[in-house]
Amino acid sequence: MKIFTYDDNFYALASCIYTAWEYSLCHKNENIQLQKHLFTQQNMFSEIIYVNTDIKNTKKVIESIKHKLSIQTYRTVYTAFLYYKDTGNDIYNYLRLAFKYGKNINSMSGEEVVMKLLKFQTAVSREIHSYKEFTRFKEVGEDLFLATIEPKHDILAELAYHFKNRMPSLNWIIIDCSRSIALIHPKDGDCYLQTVEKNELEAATKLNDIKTPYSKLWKAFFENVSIKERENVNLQRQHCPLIRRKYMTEFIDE
Amino acid sequence: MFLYNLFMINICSKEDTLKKLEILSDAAKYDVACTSSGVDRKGKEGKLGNSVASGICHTFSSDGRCISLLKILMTNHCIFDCKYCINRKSNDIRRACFTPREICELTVEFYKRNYIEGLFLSSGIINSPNFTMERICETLSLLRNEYMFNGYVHVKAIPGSSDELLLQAGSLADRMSVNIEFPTESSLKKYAPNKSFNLISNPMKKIKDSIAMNRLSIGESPKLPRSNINKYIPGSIFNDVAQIEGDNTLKSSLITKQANIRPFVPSGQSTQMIIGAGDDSDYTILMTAQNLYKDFDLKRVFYSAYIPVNEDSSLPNPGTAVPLLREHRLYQADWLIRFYGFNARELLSKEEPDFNTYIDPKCNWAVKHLEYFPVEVQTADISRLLRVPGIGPKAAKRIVSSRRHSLLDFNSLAKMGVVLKRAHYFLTCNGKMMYKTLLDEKYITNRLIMLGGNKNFQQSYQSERQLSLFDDFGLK
Repeated sequence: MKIFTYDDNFYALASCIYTAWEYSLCHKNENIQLQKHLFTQQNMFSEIIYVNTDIKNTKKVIESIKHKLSIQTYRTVYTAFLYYKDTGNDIYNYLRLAFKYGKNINSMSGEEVVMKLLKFQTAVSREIHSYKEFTRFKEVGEDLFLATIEPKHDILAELAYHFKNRMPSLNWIIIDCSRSIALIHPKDGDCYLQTVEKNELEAATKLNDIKTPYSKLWKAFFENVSIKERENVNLQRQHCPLIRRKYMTEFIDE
Repeated sequence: MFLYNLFMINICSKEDTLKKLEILSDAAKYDVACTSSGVDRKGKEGKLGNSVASGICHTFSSDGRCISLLKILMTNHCIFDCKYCINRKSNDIRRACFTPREICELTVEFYKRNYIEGLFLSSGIINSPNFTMERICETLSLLRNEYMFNGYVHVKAIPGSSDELLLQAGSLADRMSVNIEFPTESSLKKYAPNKSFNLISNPMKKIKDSIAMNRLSIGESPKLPRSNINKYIPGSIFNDVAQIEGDNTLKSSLITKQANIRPFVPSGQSTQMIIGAGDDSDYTILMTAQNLYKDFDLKRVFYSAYIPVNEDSSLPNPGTAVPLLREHRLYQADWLIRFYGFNARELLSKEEPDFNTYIDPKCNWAVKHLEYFPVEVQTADISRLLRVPGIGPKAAKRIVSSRRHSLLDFNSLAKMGVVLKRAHYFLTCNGKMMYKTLLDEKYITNRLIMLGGNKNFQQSYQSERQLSLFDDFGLK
């Protein structure tokens, strides 16, 4: 068995898929697996091959997914990659099937690997949506808004589209605490990602809203708009799970 | 009266924003509509906000309802004396009044912090309907043009205000609503002596016509778009008209949209009915809702279980249980009408005017129409599949698209999202049922009711309450 390993980014995975594919064409009977580079488990019967990212191969893979299959397939593959576990191997198997059957691959829910990828996609896109809802900004400086989140999947970059569209003329930063990455959006400019040092991260989470009345007003509104006679805490917890409430203004006591 | 009202505004505007927000959000909470869906609008540089068609809920209050809009009244002063309303003239409660600027600032600052998706502005009637509507319009225009707010705005049309003001509000807002509150003229007269059916249906009609005119002018069909599942259901209530005007969509592709003009009420209008205050049956309520969907092209009808707030001989006493289950059944039926191609007449009738508390409306219909079942998964068309309890629009679409590629079995049905615990009584897959079950009304009903285990959950949730050490035994 051959294990192909790749660095932890999408381009590396695509490039790795290319190499593995090339290899499988000449060695039809051999088992092939894809794994993330640093998380590989050594096995007695397997050989590990590390694949260096070759941007040419990456482009070939991505272009052929987009043109020979469809944009939807590309989206499925990309969102599945954002899943918090290593999904490289499933993506490889899915693409093998997809190139065999064509662009209707997502409607073949009978195939196990297709269902698996669709599941990953749902999980990730649900989390993206829930952070569109539950991200809370604080005004930490004049015209500078800061939010901290702790998502399970790697969704920070996906939030950029939504919030850039929403607040194009504001300076804002979203920090992913579990991965120490910040998404920075300067006023009327383009977003970019930046890694955050540990002490910076701690300092950022401690910052307070300079216009405190608004968080106080929001809490008052939140309390008053609920109807006491209909209280249903279970339903509330179902829609807004405790794990998401860590950085939400209305659930933090001061 | 005029002097009194102006005087009150002056007094109340001296209170600080926090107190006003407390009073006016508390007064607005009985309005149920809090949706932010239906419009896709991109953000623009220099403006604040966009709008997403799926809608975004930003948090959930302790009653489990979503909060997506800043739901406030402009004022809770009111010259009307509706018996069911907490803000009626004869109630002795704290009153307050927001100035347009305060509302705008709250909205914009909350929006920047991603607390809310937009504004829901309603109001008690102060001085006269026109006076109130003018102030609402002033607020909206300030919000849109000075604060450059581009997010979602839901505004109440005040019944009895002039057409010009309605049109002005509509061209600034995304959704408008007029609350009909009661399904029949007689009960409305009984509980809201200052209102009449005409007073409510006139603005509704005006808004509907203006929406249709606006949509035609930008090259779209006059009716609002509905869930695309309705295309596959011949019997859907949205279909009979759509077929005649079907060719309008063809023309629309030729006309490019004029980007600078704000569309008139792009996500349609809605209304709300109170459940359990009057003595109207579920059948009357549902028929009224269906007619509203058909005649006024409403996007949504909301149902609000009445919470006794006022003491009145004709209303339930304060402390009576809130009819939550009844509200739930009505919503279920509403969904059946809008997404499953049911007609209100199929679900209820004059002989059986109320919903069964034990079984949901779809199962109830299914066990009474066993001649329709079993449905064969491999061959049945989508409108037949949709009538099976446990199969929804998504699962039905998945079944239709994946049965072209492979033979389905019950396992793969479960993976597609079919709820087999309800569906398996009514389905055959390749000619076989899942278990050896009878196709018999009594047998299936019994099995369906027993589903939750020892007790029917929905039924027990409604009437009983867990004993509390503190409230019931006086320990404190």
